[in-house]
Amino acid sequence: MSRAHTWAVGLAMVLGLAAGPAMAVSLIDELGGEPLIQAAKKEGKVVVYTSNILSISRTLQVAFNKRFPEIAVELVRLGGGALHSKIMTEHAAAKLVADVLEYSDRGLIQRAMDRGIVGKHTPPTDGLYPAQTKVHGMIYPGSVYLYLIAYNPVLVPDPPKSWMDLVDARFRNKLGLVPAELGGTPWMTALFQYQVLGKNGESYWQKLAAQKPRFFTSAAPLGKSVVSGETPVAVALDVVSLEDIKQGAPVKMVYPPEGVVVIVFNNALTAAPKNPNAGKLWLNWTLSREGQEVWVKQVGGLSVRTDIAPPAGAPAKVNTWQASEEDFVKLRDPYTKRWNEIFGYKP
Amino acid sequence: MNQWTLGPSLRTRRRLWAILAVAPLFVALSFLVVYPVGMLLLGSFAKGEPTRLLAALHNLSLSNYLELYGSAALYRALANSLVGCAGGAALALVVGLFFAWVVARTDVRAKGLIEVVAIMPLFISPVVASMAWAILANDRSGILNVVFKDLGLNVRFNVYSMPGIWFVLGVYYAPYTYMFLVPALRRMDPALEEASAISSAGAWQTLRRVTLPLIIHPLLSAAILVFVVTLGLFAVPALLAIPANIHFLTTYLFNLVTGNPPLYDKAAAVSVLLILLTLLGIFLQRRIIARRSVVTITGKSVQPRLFRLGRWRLLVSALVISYLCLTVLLPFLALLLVSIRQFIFIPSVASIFDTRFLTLRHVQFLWGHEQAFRSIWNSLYMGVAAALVGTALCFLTAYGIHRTRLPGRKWLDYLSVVPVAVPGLVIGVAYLWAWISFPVPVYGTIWILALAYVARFIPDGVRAAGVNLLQIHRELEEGSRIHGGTYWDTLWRVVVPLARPGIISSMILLFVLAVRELGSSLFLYTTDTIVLAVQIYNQWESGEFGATALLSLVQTLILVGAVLLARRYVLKVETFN
Repeated sequence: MSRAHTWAVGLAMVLGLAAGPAMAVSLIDELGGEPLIQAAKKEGKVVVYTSNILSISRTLQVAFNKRFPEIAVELVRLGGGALHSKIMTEHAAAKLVADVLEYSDRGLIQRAMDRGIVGKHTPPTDGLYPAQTKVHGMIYPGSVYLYLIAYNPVLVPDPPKSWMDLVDARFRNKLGLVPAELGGTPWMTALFQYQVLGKNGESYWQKLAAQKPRFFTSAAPLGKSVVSGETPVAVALDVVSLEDIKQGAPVKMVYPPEGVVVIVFNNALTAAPKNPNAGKLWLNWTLSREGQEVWVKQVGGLSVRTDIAPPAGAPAKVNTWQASEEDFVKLRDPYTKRWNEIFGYKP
Repeated sequence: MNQWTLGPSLRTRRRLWAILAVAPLFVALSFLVVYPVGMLLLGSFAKGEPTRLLAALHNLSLSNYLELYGSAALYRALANSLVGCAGGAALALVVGLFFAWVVARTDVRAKGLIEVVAIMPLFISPVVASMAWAILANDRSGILNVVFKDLGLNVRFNVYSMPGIWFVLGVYYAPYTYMFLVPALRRMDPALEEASAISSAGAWQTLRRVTLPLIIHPLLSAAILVFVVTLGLFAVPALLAIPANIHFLTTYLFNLVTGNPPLYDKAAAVSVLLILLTLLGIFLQRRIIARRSVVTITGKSVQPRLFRLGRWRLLVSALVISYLCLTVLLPFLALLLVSIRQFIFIPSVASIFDTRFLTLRHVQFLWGHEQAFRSIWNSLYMGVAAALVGTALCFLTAYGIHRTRLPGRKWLDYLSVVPVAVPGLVIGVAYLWAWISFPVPVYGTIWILALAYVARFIPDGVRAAGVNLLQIHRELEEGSRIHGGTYWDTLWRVVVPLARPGIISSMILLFVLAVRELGSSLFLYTTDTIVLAVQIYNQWESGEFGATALLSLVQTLILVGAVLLARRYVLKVETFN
């Protein structure tokens, strides 16, 4: 099942502007109220296990500490599968020290939920997040990654303008991507290509495989290889290139009209946090207007909150796509196997 | 006169001492090796996650093995691993032997400098080396290829290939073979070579027929060790083989452990395969040793016979300088460039010197990053701990294997070798759930890292100590005992001083390996105990190449400093001897 979702900039403008005191009050409301803030400050620390890209986590941490210097944020960062195994094992030995979990892979956090590792928490901003991006009362999309097309403008004077343009012969041997089986984010993208671009068939995969793309173990090195010129065009993650774009690096992004794949993060409180109030505050802040604006304005990413505008450089209307949870989990194994066969990826 | 002519009570006492010395080793090795690897083995017969192992115990089966060994992907990965590591070991042997021979058996000038050059690649961890060479020699935008293009040369390197992997493995693991061969070459009795010369054999004939056969044991030992160590390496195949769609056993394993869902049971089965391969290698090595006497160090003092280089001096110097450029200078420059540039887009030679893109932002990023400093301190602290504890354990284990007649010493040998075949990644996982429920709180402290490193590098330490000990003839120890020395007296006053260069080398090796170690650290660290290798890897995985390059330079400088200090001490000891 595919979805299309369009963003209205006007709504953002109406909701975005509010004068000083009114803004301050609504921020405290969004954060969970003064008693929670005081209790969190007393705890003085929050431990976050995240698979978010490190520099992005640090940007969020710095911004959080600007508002709450009394609360130390300890970040433990690992890639999806590695983070999950650490969480599961620590939990099994009753030694899970995390207060907050931030997974990129819904399938993996589902397993954690099944084990009772994920706690219940409904942030004050719950109503502002669309139903398909959260699990009400438990999991919320603090960060959003987009899978789209990145290219090096110096080496590619005639860039692809759409997903269908990407499979044109002029990009043969010039593409890079992350194999579908290596993570939730590339798998979601492969599913989009199958269901939307291939119209529930393998045709797009076949065409993309004919481009003889180079494989990378993760999105970050792939993004850097676009900058270095090693991979002129890539099926890439936006967040990787955002910092480079700010620095004037030769990389540009294309938001294809057929759709941009949205991967919502899965932020949640743990079931038995050592710093429950600080954990709730971190979550609430991440999901608040202030936290989301750090994400959009400082990091340059997209927010799924209905009242926050897209980042500068993105089109006013970004056509986004998100897989159904059922498809994401059920189709993964057989489809990634088939993907490997078509692309000749031999793990 | 030997111990069998002495009274029975003395013999019993000696046996008791031997047992007392060796028993704690068995206990230590069991804790560090048997228990976690045992859990791994159990896991390979169970279905499901390690945390559900107890529940799965009554439902053990061979299904993991059957599924795995029926998969073509495994055999491809196995073939690639064997070919890649064999090629790497062969090149490492050639390079290591060249340096060892130049340093120990020729009259080359600036010997001290050449010794430093020979071991310098140890300072550069595999992740860093692979990263640097990917920047230098990837086929599309590698800096070297850009230079060749600008110079109009029709030459292109592609490090993303099997030859590229042979190259990186070969030159960066040559120090292992070098460190084994130097003591063997230095302490050879020159009488045999002199006899060869007197019989009118030329220099090459002497080398081929006398010198090489005498050092065949250290040669094979070194080659086999490099082969099995590189079999368990993750970083090089991950960075250099995957872009060429070549899979090694370790990247295959990584995909199993970090996939969705993580397949620990299959990962355990693959690990068992790796362990079996190593055991096979060690078994072969033992068969080879058994056929030859390895004694070259006798009670007489020896002066090695030096070969006069003469007109070969220039060639030797050129080769040494080339090696230095390839292993250290070029990668160092590439890393420096990446650490001071905004981003690494270099379309021409001129753009390398373009000052518009210079920046201190990576330095600023690291300077304000408290965790980076903590990781440096943790690495130093834990590296020293691992070196001291590990060397003591390894030396005693090697002594137990080679110098006692206890019936269990063969098992001590095999036990000490098993960790080689268990990739760091898997040792990390095995340690995680082996120690996490232990009543003594080891998990989450820096000690679990040190223990994992010691366990991980027991094979390296024991091999190094063993090769050294084997060169020392028993007559020296027996001389001590004949004069009334006790078991420990002999160990402390005769064996240790003779083996001291080997012991120091062991300590340096363990410190360097511990500071470089990534795989086992990845699952055992917490924010308090994060180490440098993990910090570097996390930053690389996040695409922070500038900060990664900077920290890599810091790691390199730490290792350089440590080794230079230790070498100074070793040289002092050597001249004293």
